[in-house]
Amino acid sequence: MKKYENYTEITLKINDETFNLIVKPNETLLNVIREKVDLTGPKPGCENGDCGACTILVNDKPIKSCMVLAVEMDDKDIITIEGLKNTEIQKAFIDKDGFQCGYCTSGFIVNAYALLKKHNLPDQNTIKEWLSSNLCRCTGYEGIERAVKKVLDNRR
Amino acid sequence: MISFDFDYYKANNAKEAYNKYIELENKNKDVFYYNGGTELVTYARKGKINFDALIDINNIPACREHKINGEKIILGASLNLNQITEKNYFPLLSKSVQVIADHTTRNQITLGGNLTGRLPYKEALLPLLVTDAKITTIGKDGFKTRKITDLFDKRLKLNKGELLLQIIVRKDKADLPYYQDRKVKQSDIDYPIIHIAAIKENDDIKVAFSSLSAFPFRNNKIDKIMGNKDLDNEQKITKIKDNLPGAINSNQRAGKEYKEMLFDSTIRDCLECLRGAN
Repeated sequence: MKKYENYTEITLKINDETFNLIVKPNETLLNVIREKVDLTGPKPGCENGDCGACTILVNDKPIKSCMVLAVEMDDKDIITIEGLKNTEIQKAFIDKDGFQCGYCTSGFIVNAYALLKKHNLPDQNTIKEWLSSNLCRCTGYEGIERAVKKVLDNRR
Repeated sequence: MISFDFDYYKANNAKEAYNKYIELENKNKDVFYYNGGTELVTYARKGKINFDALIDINNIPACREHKINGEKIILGASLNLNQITEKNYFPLLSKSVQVIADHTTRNQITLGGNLTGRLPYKEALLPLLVTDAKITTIGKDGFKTRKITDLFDKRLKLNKGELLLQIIVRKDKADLPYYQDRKVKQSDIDYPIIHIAAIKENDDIKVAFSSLSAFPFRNNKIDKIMGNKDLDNEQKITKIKDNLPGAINSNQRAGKEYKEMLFDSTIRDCLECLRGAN
């Protein structure tokens, strides 16, 4: 049985890069990604699993990184917003004004990317179900919806 | 970041996890099994809970099992709620867990965590109670499989260190006609005011509730009233209320009277929905 105590070495694969890091079991993945890997795209919001600003992908599934321990992710494939540069959904958010203050944007884009990867043409209920996982405190939901629909229109 | 230090163990099999739990327990350590982590991480971060060690059970093969084995559906305790919905071996369970938290969080919340955690709602439990599901655990007497209705009384009564590994549901029961409803105050992503799940087996209706009172429950007397052909719907509602195992309570989401009104209407809907079902 593998034991992690005090400072332990773990390997995180983030955006196709390998990082060997020294972490403690009490560090959340969000903290480690931001402070030890220096990727600040995942945002600390509520840090309670409610807002989705810290959303990342683990094996292509959206996960709220504030509710995960870094040691849990040893050897898993992680994608953050920084790994989604120049994707169709990122461009759609820009074209359709899918953001206001921008704090929630990275979480929304990561989640929408996962949705559109899993479902080629998701229906309205599926879009609502997935994107309800994220909160926009500026309430800019219409722009976000337009961005997702733009990608869908391109696929039709 | 959690403000206190602890050790973290990744178990490869059930025996190893249980033995480690007992070993640490004997050293007076506070230990928890770690599954999805949603509750433990958030509670620990807020300082609502403290522990010396976590034993991660996600790599235990039995906890990851998800299949139909002859007449039985096997559900590992480490399956997350979205995995259960996507395979949909048990439609009532899928419907009942699809409304817990939000989609992203359901990639982390596990079936075992929902059943054994500290939150009182335990919405995944309702379909298991009404179908007389069994659970397999490992404890001081080794592996054991028992009916969940025999172990659940306000909470799942497992012995110290006993680890929930699998939930087993009979396929024929999982395919029975069902009714499920969940009332919330405002947003879909909220704890329920009332959650009801019921199945119809021949002329019997088996029903379980969450959030109505301080703990989820299924009660044989209520099942009998639901299936009693000599009573009309309103008589059934009155009799059920006389036999509730816990008082309908008020909380931040709804007052007692409002809950009672919702309770009446969901029972009516349930009875109507299952009336002609076979």
